[in-house]
Amino acid sequence: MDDFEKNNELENEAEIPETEGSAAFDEPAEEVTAESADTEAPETEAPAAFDEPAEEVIAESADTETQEEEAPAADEETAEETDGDDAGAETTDTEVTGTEDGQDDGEPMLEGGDLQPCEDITDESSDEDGSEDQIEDTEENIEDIPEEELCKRCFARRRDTSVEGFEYCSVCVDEMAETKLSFGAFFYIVLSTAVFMIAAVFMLAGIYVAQPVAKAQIVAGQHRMTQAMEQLDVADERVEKLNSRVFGQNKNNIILFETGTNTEYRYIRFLNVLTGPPSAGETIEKTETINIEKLPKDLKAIHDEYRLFEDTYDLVSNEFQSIYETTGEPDFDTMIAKIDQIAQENDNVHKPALEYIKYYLAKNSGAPEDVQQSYLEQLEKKYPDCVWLYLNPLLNLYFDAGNYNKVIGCCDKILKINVNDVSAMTYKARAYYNLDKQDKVDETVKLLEKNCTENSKSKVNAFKAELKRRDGKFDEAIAICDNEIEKYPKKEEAYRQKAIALMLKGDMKGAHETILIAYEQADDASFNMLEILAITANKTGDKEKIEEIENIFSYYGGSLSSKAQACIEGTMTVEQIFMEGTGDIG
Amino acid sequence: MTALYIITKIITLPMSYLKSLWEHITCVILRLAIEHKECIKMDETCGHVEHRLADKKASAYFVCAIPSFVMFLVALVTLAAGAIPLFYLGTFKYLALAKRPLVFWLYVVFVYLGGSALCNMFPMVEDVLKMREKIYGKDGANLFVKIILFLPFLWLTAGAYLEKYCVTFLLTAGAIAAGFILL
Repeated sequence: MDDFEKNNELENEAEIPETEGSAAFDEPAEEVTAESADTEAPETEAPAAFDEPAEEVIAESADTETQEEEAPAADEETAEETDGDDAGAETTDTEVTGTEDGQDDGEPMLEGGDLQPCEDITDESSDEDGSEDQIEDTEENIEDIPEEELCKRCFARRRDTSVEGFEYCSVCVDEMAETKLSFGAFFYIVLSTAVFMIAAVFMLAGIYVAQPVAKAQIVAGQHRMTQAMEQLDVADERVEKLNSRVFGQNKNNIILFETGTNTEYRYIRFLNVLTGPPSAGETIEKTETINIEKLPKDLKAIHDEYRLFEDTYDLVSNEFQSIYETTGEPDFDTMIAKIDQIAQENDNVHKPALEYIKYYLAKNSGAPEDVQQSYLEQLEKKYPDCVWLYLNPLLNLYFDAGNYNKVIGCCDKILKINVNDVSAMTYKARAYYNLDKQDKVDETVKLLEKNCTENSKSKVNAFKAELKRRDGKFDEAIAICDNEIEKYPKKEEAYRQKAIALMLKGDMKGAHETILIAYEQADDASFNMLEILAITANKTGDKEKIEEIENIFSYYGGSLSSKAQACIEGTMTVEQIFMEGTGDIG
Repeated sequence: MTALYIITKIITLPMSYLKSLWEHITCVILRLAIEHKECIKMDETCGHVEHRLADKKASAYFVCAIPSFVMFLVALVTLAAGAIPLFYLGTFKYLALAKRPLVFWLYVVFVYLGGSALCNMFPMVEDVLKMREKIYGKDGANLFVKIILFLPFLWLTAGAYLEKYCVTFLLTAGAIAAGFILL
């Protein structure tokens, strides 16, 4: 190889000075041709190069003088055109341009006769992967790459033409596929993740409170009003739980979560369906989280009706007061006439309330039950929508009168409004029992078990105990009551039924002790329980208790029922009260 | 139309930026070249990252689906966190606006973020068209994949067009405004 080079240089040096004779070039050309034939020199290209007309050679050498930097590129291009023998090309070009020899005078040097392949040089300088060659080739060819085909990012390489219309080279594509996020972007993602976590906590808390509210709405649509009210109570409990969990004992009364005003609105609507505008309207006025001025239309109407109801009562009270002050206590007929007068003279009064007041006056003045009944039936006829006014008192009157078919009719109306009404279902079952329709009793009890809520299960089982004791199965009744007391120790009805069963069995002391437990643990003892206590206290000689009960009744403006009074006086036996007729005191 | 689109992206800036970041991450995972990583540009690609269209079927699908799914999740959680107490329960509704506690305004922020995420849920139309070409085109996926991906494809395509013409923004803004008015 060194010999080649030396020969090449020597021959070139010999040839470069301006001898133009072709013979001087012929010999070296033949030698080169022969030598190149032995090597991997471009056999096809070298003769062609040697065969180049002198003008082309002159042109190339002229270019080289001014563009020395392009020589390597030109060498590469030539190498690509050959079979990869860059040495030959370089040598050819070098010899042609003379740059390696440092002769830049631009004069044509040779026609290729002194050309020698320099593949060895090329072998030494080339990389194994050929990338440098590619780069050298690219760099060399960058001038030749049209601008529209250059990579838009680096402007140094040809675009990746595998994708139609793509603007980048493959190297840039790889780099772009690994573009990293800036620090600010990374920080933003961390921040948004934190916000997302906080939102998730609030979402879960919101769902925890909203779930029973949604359930209340659904069951209210199915006329399960008692269940709906219980679900709203569950929502209130959950809110208390969440707030106490966040703020401990909630000393500062801080509220983070609440059931919300819309939930209060729902509660009032349910209350209006169950008990009518008086209690719903009163709730509107007493609830702190309700702004009366911002009430929705339907609740505004309820509140207005409540106000009218209250105003009507006040008006009637004032009228009776003035009569009392002028003529003394009026008799029943005078009061009824006065109410009719108020109804005629005033348009802005609650007319159904006036009709109800007539019944109330009849009841308080001790009028016969059929008279009371007639007023309520008149109210039902004139204002059938006001079921919340007349239905329950009418049911009681029908039951006391033994009009069990009408009792069943009233219970069906009540159950249309509220499927969960345990009281209506028990009255219906009692009515069927008194009509000796055992299959209907069983059917009603099954319905009762199906439609009762969790909170009223104890009442349902106590009613089953009542049916057992009315059948004379006292021990079974007591067993059922004991079971209920074990599950729900605070529920009063189980104690009451057990006390009645024990009385019927003859165990007065046991009955008194049982009912005393219920009385002492009750926050608010019912009149039914007080009456049983009065009977057992009388039977066991507990006079202190009897006095206490009488004081309670007088405090509330009431008195013992006629049956309880009769039992205490001895005119009615326990069996007559609890095994016959209505089967109970109230 | 483009001006309107840019305006909606600016209004929903927090989530449009987050969407573009998730697109960036998805492109890095799928080895798709990101041509310009600037997210907020004043053109029709505002709120999106300009990237090389996917060559593979899976890439074409996931570059649309993954950011969309993430933004859907974000929208669901933040909107629920704010909308449940504000609109369904009516929390602190009885108080005058000035007297409402800080937690009320936190709920309002959640509603804004959730609504913004809803307006930035869908991919660019170009990505969706590429997905269509790759999955349902001439050399598309097999029949089973086509069936399985039909509903998500329909969702993403419809959404991309709705978002492009600002319909999602109008619907979301209208719904939230109605909620606040009725509140």
